[in-house]
Amino acid sequence: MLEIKNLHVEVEGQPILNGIDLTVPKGEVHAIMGPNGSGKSTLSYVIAGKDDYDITKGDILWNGESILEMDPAERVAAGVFLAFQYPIEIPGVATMTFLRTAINSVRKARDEEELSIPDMMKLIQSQAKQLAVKPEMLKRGLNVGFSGGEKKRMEILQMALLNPGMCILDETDSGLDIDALRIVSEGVNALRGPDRSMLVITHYQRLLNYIVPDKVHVMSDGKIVKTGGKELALELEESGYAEYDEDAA
Amino acid sequence: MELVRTPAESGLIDLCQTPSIEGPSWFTARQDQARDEFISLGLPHRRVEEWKYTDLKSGLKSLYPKASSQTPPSTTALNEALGATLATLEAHRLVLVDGVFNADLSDDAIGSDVELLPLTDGLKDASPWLEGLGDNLGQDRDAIQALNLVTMQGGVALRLAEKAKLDKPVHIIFANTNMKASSFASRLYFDIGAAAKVEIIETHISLNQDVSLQANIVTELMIGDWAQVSHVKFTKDTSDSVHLANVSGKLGKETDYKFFQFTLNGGITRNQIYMRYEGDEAKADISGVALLNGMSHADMTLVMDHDAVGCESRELFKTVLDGTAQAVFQGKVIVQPGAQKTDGEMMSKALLLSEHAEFDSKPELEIYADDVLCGHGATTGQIDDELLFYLKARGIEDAQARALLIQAFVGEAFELVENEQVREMMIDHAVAWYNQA
Repeated sequence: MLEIKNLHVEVEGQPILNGIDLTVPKGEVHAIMGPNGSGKSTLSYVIAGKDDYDITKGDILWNGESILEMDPAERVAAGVFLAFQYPIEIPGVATMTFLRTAINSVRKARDEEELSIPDMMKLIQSQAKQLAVKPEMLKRGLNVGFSGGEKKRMEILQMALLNPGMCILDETDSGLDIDALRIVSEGVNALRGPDRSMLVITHYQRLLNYIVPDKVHVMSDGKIVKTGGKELALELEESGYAEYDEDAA
Repeated sequence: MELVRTPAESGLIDLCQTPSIEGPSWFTARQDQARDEFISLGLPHRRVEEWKYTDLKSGLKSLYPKASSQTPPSTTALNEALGATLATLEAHRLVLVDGVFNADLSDDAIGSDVELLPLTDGLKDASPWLEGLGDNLGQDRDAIQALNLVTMQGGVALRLAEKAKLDKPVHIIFANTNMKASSFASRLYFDIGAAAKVEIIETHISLNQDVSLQANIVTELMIGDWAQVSHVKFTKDTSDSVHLANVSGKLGKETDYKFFQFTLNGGITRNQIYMRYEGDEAKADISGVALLNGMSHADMTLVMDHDAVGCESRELFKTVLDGTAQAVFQGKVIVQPGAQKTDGEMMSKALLLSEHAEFDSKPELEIYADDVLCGHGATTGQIDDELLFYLKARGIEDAQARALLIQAFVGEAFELVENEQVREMMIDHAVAWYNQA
């Protein structure tokens, strides 16, 4: 279970998050929707442990323990994973090498035995196939020359391989056409389960047709301003964010 | 103004008075001239333009005693010092013990179309194909090249007949056997016949760990038309060592020369390259990786002198600096009048892991022809925080994430090493270095 309590965050003295309260119980999928600039991506980075943010008040608990003092790699080992809105290209790091390093780092941190190379290859290849990640992509530099859809599929592949209990998906639908959106969503849905929670951050309702949430939260000006069921997303699609966002009005 | 001699400089001038190698009159004349040159120039210092960033006058604190090999090492000891990969490298070995060719440790049969001469013998016999030795391709010698010509204790010359193709690379091993810090000067001379092909792997090792060295090595390559030469060099000296190397090459028509330098730490290292394009459509690729920590200082200074039509030069250097290390890159591309259709591209990139490290880059283009394509680039940067966060957000801990990013930075350059075994060996050394950084 993820619990965010009265979270206040600043960047260079500018308040971005102004008291977020949010709980995602085990096995549930929650969506956060909101206009641009409402602080959605900041929230995802803060949960993942990015350096550039000052947490001035509040706490983030994962299964009852604060993760604020953990470095990003420790959070992944503990089970908190962020799929990036803009996956980073790293030329010179072969995708396969990267995946192997990530998997074994996490296994080691979890006191699990490191996988042998053949076992590792089998695991990666079978998961890759499900997400239509072609073998050539695994040989290339990480995300280098990948299309928008390929990059997002690679994010979901990493998510599947690192076996997190808490998945945060930051604007996973951005830059995807309908076919790519369907493949990525199927990949995400395959990972849904009673032991895994998800927080799906999106600007548009479209993604939530594929990944149907248990709850929808509306975020504006660094706060959760409304919470409802999946039908809230449809309402927002109709009315827009105008009533929540002074700037957009 | 009277020159103020440093103790090291005075010691070197004394050494110049009694050359170790004798030779025919043309050689003695060159040595005499070189002696005068060194005495008048002295050790290079920061007011000499080409040595601005590598001041030997202040850097060479004292002169180590001349290396002497009382007892050559056993093959077992040599293999141990080489390490598993290099010891099992499929290659013809040429071993220079403290700068002097050692026949017992070297392969005696390289090939029927290859002539091998230890430089002392060759010079006594005055083989006509050695006549380019010490001539420096007709260019002015700098003080260090001049010093080498007078003080060299030995070396080896290799002549490949026309169309000679070796079944294996030639592995040139400079092995230092001294228990204490010592100095030596040595020389390699290659006369490569038309359409011949050779792969040279040059390594520098110490039989006794952590012994410091002052080495002055000159390599001369006369590369015949259509010949292909690949030359890879690896040094990993101690922090009190001085490694001064000069590689000069004359490129015939449609030749292909590739040079790769891997510098791992060391004290003061200077690799100076001079390539002269004499035949049309010749190609040279000069590249390398330097991984420097502590107070290491590594200088790569090169001049690509295009004096023929349609030639190509490519340079790619990747340098990673930690601690208070300093690296220097000086790359000059000269396009002589008439050297039309020259295609030159130079790139030098540095990654600074510490705020106290320094990288000095000086690319220069001197172009006297109008139909040429020449470019250069240099970058200096730090590890990108965005990339680092991305890797950490995948569970990879900080140190390993940094190591991966350094590896990614230099990887492109290591790919230019064609010999797979040598490349793997270099990458193993590099990975050990990243993990300590």
